[in-house]
This record gives sequence, structure tokens and C-alpha cells, in this order.
Amino acid sequence: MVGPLLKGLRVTFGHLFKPAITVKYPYEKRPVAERYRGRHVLKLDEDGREKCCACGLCEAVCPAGAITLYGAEDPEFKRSDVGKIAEVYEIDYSRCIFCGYCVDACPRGAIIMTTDYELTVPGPGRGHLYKDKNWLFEKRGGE
Amino acid sequence: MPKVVIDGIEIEVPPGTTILNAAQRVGVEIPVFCYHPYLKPAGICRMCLVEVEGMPRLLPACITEVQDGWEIYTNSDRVKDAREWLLEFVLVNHPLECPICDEAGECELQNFVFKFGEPRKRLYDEPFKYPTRYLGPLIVHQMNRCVLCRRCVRFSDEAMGGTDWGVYERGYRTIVGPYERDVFAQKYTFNMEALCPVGAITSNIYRYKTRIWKLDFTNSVCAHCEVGCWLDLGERDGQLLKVLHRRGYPSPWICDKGGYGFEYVNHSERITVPLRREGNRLRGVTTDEALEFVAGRLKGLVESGGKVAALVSPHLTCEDYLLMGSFMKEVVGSDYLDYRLYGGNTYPERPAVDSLEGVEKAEAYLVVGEDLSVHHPVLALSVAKGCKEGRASLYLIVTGDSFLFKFAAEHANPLPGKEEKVLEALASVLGGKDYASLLEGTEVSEDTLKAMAQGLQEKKPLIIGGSRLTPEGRVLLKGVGERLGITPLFLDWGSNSKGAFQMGFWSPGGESVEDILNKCVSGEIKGLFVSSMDLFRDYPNGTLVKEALSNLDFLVVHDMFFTETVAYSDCYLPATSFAEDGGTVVNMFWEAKKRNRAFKPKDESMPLWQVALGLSRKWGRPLGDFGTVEDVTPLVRERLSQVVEAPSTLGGVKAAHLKGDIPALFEYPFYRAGMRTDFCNAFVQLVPEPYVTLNPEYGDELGFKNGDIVIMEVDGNQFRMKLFFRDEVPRGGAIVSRGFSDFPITRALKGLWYRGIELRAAKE
Repeated sequence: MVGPLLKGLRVTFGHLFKPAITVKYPYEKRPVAERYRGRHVLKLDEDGREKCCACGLCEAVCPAGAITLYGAEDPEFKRSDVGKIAEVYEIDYSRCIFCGYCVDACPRGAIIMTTDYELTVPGPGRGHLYKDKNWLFEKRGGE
Repeated sequence: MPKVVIDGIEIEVPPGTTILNAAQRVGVEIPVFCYHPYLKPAGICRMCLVEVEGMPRLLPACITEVQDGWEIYTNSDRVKDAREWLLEFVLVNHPLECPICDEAGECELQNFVFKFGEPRKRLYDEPFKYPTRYLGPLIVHQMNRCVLCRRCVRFSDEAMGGTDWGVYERGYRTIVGPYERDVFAQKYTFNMEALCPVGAITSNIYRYKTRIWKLDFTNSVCAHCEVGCWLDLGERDGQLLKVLHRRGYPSPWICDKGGYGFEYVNHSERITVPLRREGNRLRGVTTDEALEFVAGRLKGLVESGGKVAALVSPHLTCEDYLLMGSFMKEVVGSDYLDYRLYGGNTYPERPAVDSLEGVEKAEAYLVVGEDLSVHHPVLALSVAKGCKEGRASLYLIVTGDSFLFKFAAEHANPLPGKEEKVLEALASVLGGKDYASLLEGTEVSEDTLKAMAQGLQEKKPLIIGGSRLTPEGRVLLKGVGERLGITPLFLDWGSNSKGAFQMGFWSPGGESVEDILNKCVSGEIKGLFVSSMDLFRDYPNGTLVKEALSNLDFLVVHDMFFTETVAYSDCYLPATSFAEDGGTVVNMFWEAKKRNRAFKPKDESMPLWQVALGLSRKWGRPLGDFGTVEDVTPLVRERLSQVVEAPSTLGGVKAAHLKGDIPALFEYPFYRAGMRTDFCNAFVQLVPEPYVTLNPEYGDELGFKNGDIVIMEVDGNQFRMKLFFRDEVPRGGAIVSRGFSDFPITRALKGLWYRGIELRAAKE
């Protein structure tokens, strides 16, 4: 009876002296693969204008139906070089499956996925996971 | 009958059939740009080239008539090659902006390139760059994208009888567009946008809002006039964003009111909660509270011996009229209901023809008492069609017709208020009586009338009596019809007047709206229910309306917006738009059509039939157990098959007050006619304010210039307006625009749409 117990304890104590595989998140973070598909960012061009021209392809290809997009005209070409911008661009992160199809579909490279995976939201409910255009333009971390 | 073989399929077709039509019969697809089933074939684009055995060259399928024994190949290597080349040539100047273009998803060029094109571009030259032209609030023209099929130009020529939309320059520099206009809004502009196979002409209202594949389309019936065109309502997330007209029936074309007049559905000023008056305020309440309050107050009024009346817009569905009528008659016990809020005094009558095709077949037309292009625009196109082709001749007795006068063989353009005098004179001419005295003061020459009478006797005409005719005018017109052996086609205002009449939504005593309002003033009627119409905008006596509404004990208004009528109300109930509820409507040929619900009503909005049902429940005498509008429809169908006798309305119209210098007709501008056009932003931009129009010669005589600001004086009331010169206005008269809920133009009137006015220049 003592034999198996000692055998088990040997494994336990053995691990005490091996290096740990967990990290002290959030003080310490694990390295992320270069092509990791984390949260989306909408890009700006060199002049600071929006690249997204609201063509709706990301919305059409999204298998989870997480993207909502309405366009608007920008007749003075201040916010877009083609005169068309996304008036509403929302991603519902409670639905998004991070497949990256939207990035593939985008004809102008306006939407990319980053290595940022920290999407935890405070409080109950999923409302906080509904992200609007301003949030998607925001730069976070070292991007 | 020629026999041909198309891609191995043998078919026998009537002589004169084109290759394209023969191919369509056997189900072989031939791509086309310039061909359109409702326009004359032109053979411009060369997209439809096909190979015929034994012919040295490829032939355009849309204009080549088949001949016996032809063997046609639509998919041979030569044809494929030709198509690839053609698409490549088109794409040389076509910008690659499908992600931006609104047409993407329904673009014929896009589809053809995918299907028949080669994914290559060998000529990398800078394409033409024409500026984007914003042609007013309705359409945007981008010449870059044009494939020069000229469908829009041909529509403008063939159907509209010519506008300044044309083809300019030549060869590869060809451009299409208006010659001198900056604003292009020509009543039927929507069709040009719909005809464009690419995104060269796109809607300014829908511009960049969303993509076509995100819209759910529901079949419905237009709510602006009683032609009742089928519409496909494109909805997304409870917003009506685009309207399409995909059927060739009743007409392949629709007007701008149908195509663009839907913005009020999504208007931001819409009130979607019930309001109840508390002192000087209207406070939001729940539907239950509001219905209980209304039912309680109405019950109180009825028990204390007061009368209750209901005035309802002629644009609603039969279900609404049926249940509201039952509620008023059976539960409230009222005898005063009406739908003729536009100030008419006639009831609908059975028509002489049963379809627009029947109208198109006629050899001659006599149109009296209505500018058809304003109140029945698609009917005007049908009438114009025969005249344009030279098959039919058109005779008009209409003051200031703005569209058909171009096609008229004889146009009697009487002074405002004199249409019926001229009609009487015409009847006398046909009866061989003396008529010269009748024409005095009408500005119509005897020759015109003589020629008209002669023309009418030679060919069998279709007689169209407009909505402006009084009951006496209708009798006269029927007299003229009897002499010629024809029953006239009488038109009414509103998209479902016939349905309202058939559902019995009128006073059994034959009282008109004027009588009801007078009874409100005298205090006999104490409670009034108004639905979906601003009385101050549409009833031609603003003073009477004001007096009546302020004299009431209790006013309920069921509407979508805060109109002036709502400001007088004690309770406001939110109404639905035509897209939010189904129902049956009856068109001008007494044809019942089903309207479908495109999306669910916004917030607390309710259709009228639900209001009636709710009120009857709160009253304690429920009308029945109806869940959806489909439950009411069988009752409507039953009522539609019954014959309804109308009360006589002769003698109900008081003579027009035409004192003053200039007799004036108060008429809607096209973009202001119809339902709730005050809340369609594009239309408001097109016609922002009322104006006076004069004949140029007469205007010169009076010393005015086109574009002057003038003061119109009626009964000491002064209205400051712009003045324009138009050729169609009769000499000596004026046409003043109406249909503005924010401009009290109806205060100038006394129950009829005619009035004598005085004009003088405004001091700077």
C-alpha cells in the first residue's frame, strides 16, 4: 500500500524541481506566434485616411455573421481616398470565431488581425464584446 | 413560320422574331447591354453577337430577324472570342471600383465579365476621368462607368418624350448626360437609374448606404397613387433602404414617387410612442394607457350625447377601413366618417377599361380635370405612349398640364376654375348647340374646341375624368361620353380611395368632409379621430380646419409625425408606414392587390385596424379575434365583391371664390403629391418651398421676371413666394403650389382648390 503512494509522491516532488510551464499572467506573457489571429484593427493609409471603403466583402464572407457594416459618402475625400467610408463598422466578439476570412476578403488590406488576444471584458453580459469602429481603429500594445 | 436551330435546339418562331427572342424561348442565354424588353432594339453594344452558319460575319442577335433554316451558334469559339474582346474593350475605360460602386452585385457588366470574360487587361493606359455629377438629390451620374448602351437616352426619348438627357461627342469620347441641367428630376428619373446596366446612374438616396446583397426584398404595392405599381421593398435591420420595380406589370416603368418616395419610413423625426395631453404638454404613455384613455373619453362623449367623427387618409389599406368603419358605426354609433380629406366631393365609379394595356390600346384620349403626370404618373406614360408613336391623338381640357401637353393634338388650357365650362361647351358642340357664350372668359378658342369635337367623333376615344372634377363635372363628362358611346374612366385621389369606398368608409347621409368640419364648428360633433393625414396640409380650407379642431372636446390623431394637426390633439397614436404592415389595396381599375409586410412595426407603432381593434376591446365590445392582418383579409375580400351604391353628391360644392385679379389653381408640384412627401428629404430638397407660376407672356405683361419674389394676397392674407414662368400655365391665370405642411397655404382657400389671388412685387 505504501509502494504506490511513494510512487505517486515521487512524481509530485519530481515536478517541484523542474522549471514551471505556467506563466504569471498578466505580469508575464507568453510569446505569440507571428501569424496569430487575434483582435482586428482597421488600418489608416499614409495620409491618415481610412482604408476601409465599406465594400461589404468582410461582412458577406464572415461565417459567424459577426460584422455589421453600413457605408456613407465622403464627398470631400477627407476621410477616404475613394470618397466612401464605413459609417458603422461593428464586430461582435461574442460571435467572432477568429477565422481570418475578413482579412483575406478585404480588397484594400484595410482590416488586419493582430496578436492581441486580451479581449476579456468587465461585468456580466456580452454587450462589452460588441466593438465599434473607434475601438477597432485604436492602437493597443506595441502596434 | 421560320424554323431555326439554336445551339442544336430546333424551334419554330413567328416571322419577325429576332435571334435574341428566339434564343430566350429555348432558354439559351445571350448577354446583352443595350437590349431591354420594353425599349426598341437598337443594336448598339455588340455584346449579343452570334454566329450564323454560312454568314461571313457575326450578327447582333437583338436586331437580326431570324430566317428559315438558319443554324445559330451562341457559344462557338468565334462568339466567345468576340465577347472576350468586347468586354476587354469596355473595361479599357471602366474603372475598377466595384468595391465602391453601388451597382456591384446587380451589375450586368460584372456578371458578364465573370461569365464570359477573360480575366486579363492588356492595355494599361490611364482611363478617362470624368467628374462625378450630382444631378440633384435623386441621381448621381458617373460617366467613367458608362458602357454607352444608351438605355437611359432611349428611355428618355421613347417613354418620356424627350428631355435634355442625350448623347454628346463622338467615338470613344462619347458622353451621356444632361446638356444644361444641374438638377435632373423629371418625374420618371427612377427608371433611368433602374435601366442602367452598370453603375453610371445610381441613386443618391441609397448612395453608399449598404450593399444590395444585404437587403431583403418584399413584394408590396406603392402607396402614393391608385395606379398601384408593384414594388420590391429592400429592407435591412428595420430600415427601408431601396425600392426596386422588377415586374413589367402593370407598367414596366414607375415614377419617382414610387421609386424614391419612401424616406419618411426611416425618418428620424418619426414619433413611435403614444402621447397624451396633460395641460400644454404631450406626455409619452404606454399603448394600453393611451387606448384606454381614448376609448374612455369617446365613450364619455357618446354617453353625454355628443357625436364622434372619423377622418382617415385615402392611402391606407382596406383592412384599416373595414375595422375602423365597423368600430365607428357599430361600437361608437357614429354616422360621420370620411376618407376624402383632399377636399373632393365625389365617390369612385366603376371604370370603362380594366388595365393599363387597355388604356394603351385606345385610339384617342380625352383627359379632363387633372394633371395626370402628378396624380397618376404611370397612367400619363401609358397615354403618352400611343401619342408618341402616332397611333393615338390626345385631347386635353386641363389647366396647366405639365407633361402631356407636349403630346396633345389639341390642348384646351382654360383659366383656373373654368375646366367644367369648357367641358360644357364641348358637350354643346357635340350636341350641335350654341357654345360661344360658354367659352367666354375661359381663354380657350372656338377653333380648338371645334377641332377637338371633330377629332373625338372620328376616333373612339378613352375618356379620363380627373380627380379635380366636381360631381357636376362628372355628370357633364358622362354626357359627353354618352354622345360618343363611351363610359369614362374616373380617377380619384389617394392610393386606396376605391377600397375605402367599397369598405363603406363614408357617411351614409352623404356628408362631405366640409360638412363634418362645419358640424365640429357648430358643436354637434365633439370628438374627432384623424388618421395618417395632416388636415392643414391637404384639406383646402385651413381656416375652417383650425376653427373645427380648436372647437373639439376631444381629438385623437393617429399619424407618424408631429404635424400641425397633432399639435391640436389630446392623444396621439403612432401609425405604421406602408412597409410595416400588409393589407389589401384597390387600384384604379378596381383590382385588389395584396401588400406584404417588409419588417415589423417600429416600437409602439400600430396600423389603423389594430387601433380600431384595441379601442373596441377597451370599449367593452370587441370587434372580433384578429391576430394578424391576414385574419381580416377574408372579410375584406367578401366586401369587395359586393356592389355598393354611392349617395348623390350633386349640389354639394359651393361655387369657387374667384374674386381677385388673377384666378389661381392650387396644385401639387409632382414631388410634393402623394403620401407624406414632406418627410422625404430628397423631395423636400427638390421643392423646398411653395411658388407661383405664370405664363411667360402674361408675366411680362404684369411686369414680373422669372425668379422674382412676389407677395400673393388673398383675403388680406399675404404669402411671400417665388415666381416662375412656365409655358403650360394658361394666360391670365396662375398656378400656386400646395402640399406643404410647414407653409399655411391652405389658409388662402375656401374649400376648393381655386381662388382669386392678387400678386405684387415684394419690396426688397
